[in-house]
Amino acid sequence: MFQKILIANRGEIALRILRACRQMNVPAVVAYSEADIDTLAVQEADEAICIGPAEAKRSYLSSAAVISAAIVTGCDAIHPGYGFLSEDDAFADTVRAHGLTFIGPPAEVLERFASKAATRRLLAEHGLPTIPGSGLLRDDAHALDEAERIGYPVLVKPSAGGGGKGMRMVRSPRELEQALPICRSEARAAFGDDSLYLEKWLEENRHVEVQVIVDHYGNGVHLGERDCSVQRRHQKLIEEAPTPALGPDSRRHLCEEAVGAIVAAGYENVGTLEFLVDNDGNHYFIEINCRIQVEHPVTEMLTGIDMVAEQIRIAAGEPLGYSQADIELRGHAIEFRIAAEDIAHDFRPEAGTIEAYLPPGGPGVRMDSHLYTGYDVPPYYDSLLGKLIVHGPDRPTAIARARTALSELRVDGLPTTAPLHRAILSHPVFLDGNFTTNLLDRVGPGAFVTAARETAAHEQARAEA
Amino acid sequence: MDDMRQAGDAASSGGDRVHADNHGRDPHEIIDRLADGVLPALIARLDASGLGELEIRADGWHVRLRKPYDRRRSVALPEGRRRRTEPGDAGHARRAEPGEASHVAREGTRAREGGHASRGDAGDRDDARAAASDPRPEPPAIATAPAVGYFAPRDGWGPGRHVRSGDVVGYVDCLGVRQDVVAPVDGFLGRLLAQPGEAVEYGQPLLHVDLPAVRPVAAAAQASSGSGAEPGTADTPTASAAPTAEVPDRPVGSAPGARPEGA
Repeated sequence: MFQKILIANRGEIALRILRACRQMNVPAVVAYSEADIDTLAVQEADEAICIGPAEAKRSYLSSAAVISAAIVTGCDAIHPGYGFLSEDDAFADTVRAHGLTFIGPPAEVLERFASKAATRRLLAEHGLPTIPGSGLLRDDAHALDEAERIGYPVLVKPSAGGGGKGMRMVRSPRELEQALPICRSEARAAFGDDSLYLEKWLEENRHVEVQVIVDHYGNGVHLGERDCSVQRRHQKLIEEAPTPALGPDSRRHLCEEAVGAIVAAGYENVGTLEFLVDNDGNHYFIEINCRIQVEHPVTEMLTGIDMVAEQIRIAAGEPLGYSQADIELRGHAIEFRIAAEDIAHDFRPEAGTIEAYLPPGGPGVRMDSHLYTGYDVPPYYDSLLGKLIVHGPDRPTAIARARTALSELRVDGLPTTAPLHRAILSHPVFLDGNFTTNLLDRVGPGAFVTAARETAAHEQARAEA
Repeated sequence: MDDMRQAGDAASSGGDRVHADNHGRDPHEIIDRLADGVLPALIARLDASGLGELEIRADGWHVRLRKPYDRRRSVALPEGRRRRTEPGDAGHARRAEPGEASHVAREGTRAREGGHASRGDAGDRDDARAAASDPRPEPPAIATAPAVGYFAPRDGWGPGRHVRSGDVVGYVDCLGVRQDVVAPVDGFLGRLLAQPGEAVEYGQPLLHVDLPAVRPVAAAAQASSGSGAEPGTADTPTASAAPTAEVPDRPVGSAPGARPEGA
């Protein structure tokens, strides 16, 4: 096991990794930017080190700063969390060159799966159905030809990164021509790489992803799937497992196919294979995420497995130690992303002071958040404030627990997405489990925003009374 | 007297020019004239004008006066546990006063936001202390780490050396790449706040840059405790006291950096 781990991330995931380290009795150092000095992980950590200014490029995205921090604090491993340097193969390679371990897939694995187009080809060779798409786009003319071949509507996607950045759905050549420069500049800004590709857009689809864990010795298991179909502009809002879209047999089939292909392709550590599922229940592989994901707690609730601890163990070279037969998926879990966004103003990110914070509690309720009363949410980073995760023996119980928990949750001082979640929880389409990824973009968010505003107004009235 | 305190300060900056541009004339004479007549008048004019900076070139000499920013503009984040800044390091927290003209460069007062932040609180205490014993000491400015890595002071640049804002006064080795530690203000190298070879974090205070002597020229004796310098080292602008071997261009004034603890 490692002597000491540097946590090269911030917010709730830094805290989550710190907790895993503590439970494993591995000392940890939290690396932070100047803007994050009063964040909870820094306060909780036994040791913390400032690696740069607020600007991510000079702190959390600076591989020199992160690695130097690991060296001067005597760490022998770096946990990159999600985002930032988590899927950067060059970073993983540099970490190794300095005699440290990158907690995640080894550099050559990251490199193999770095290009989405190449990954789709590779996994198609290992038997995964893929969605019709293009290779990397050479230029606008190439893009137009490829879109014609695939058939509109198509989704323009950046080859690097994820999180919906640089992504646009277009319905016509004209829209495509307009979208290309925007997507390129967004992709360049977000990932430093502006290469794009096209993918057939399934009008009605669900986003279902399979969680896998593979050790260094080629032992792999899946931990079931997650349904992340409640999105807004390709940003996930709610994730749940199991997916209400598929029956037990289809789910098992999907997961087994995924883990079989990824083990055969030589993957290592934890990873997620994303699929689109159409109305007929057909699934298409779209991309892989070579990192711990925001929504990993959903799977942790179902399996009882600490996935961050598994990442660390596997990076340290330990064998998996269990097989698929040992994995039991119990009950139903739902995660709600609580972000500092003003849903009434096009989900505008907000910064400011948390005047009051009260996390919910009770059976099957988990809150992963770095908030505390008085915390100043800085404007420099992503708007995620935390995740509320509920678990119950079945979906209706989980939803009931979610309702209670969301009504208990108090985050004062900033607008958050909590009212939207409350509104979604009372929407028949969500309750039926029949939603697709365009639910919010199609039905609302107007409808939800109105509902959410009413909820918010009602709550305010209640608070004032 | 506050505005007057800056006279020696300004004179010392202009000093190397005085040397350079006045071949054959006695620099002491020129400095006396500057200090006793010209500077007080300029300071008064700067004060009245509302300008931030005044630069005069005439007759072979050159003077630049600047008002410091309000250094307390920083966001008052809670004092970081791990900030190694001590209250005594609160160099950036001095309140700018009307009529105060000083050498503090703008680059310097902008400094590092984070370092600033934790100094905010310290500054309050410092101000309180200072208020109790006017004339207040001129706290040193602080050069901070530009990166996380191992610190090395600049070879051969010891305490007392005159530095200009922007001068490289040390390095932080960040993964084999040497990053410059720069002086935030014009002044004299003071004490080291981190040991050579020590692992430092970004923004960590590394060394003091003591501000040049700031004492009334006309009534120097009255303010002999004001600059934090050893009494008697700089009562007149012409007194070339203190060790000067490594600061040949340091023209006049006291050498706060030569304080015993600076060694």
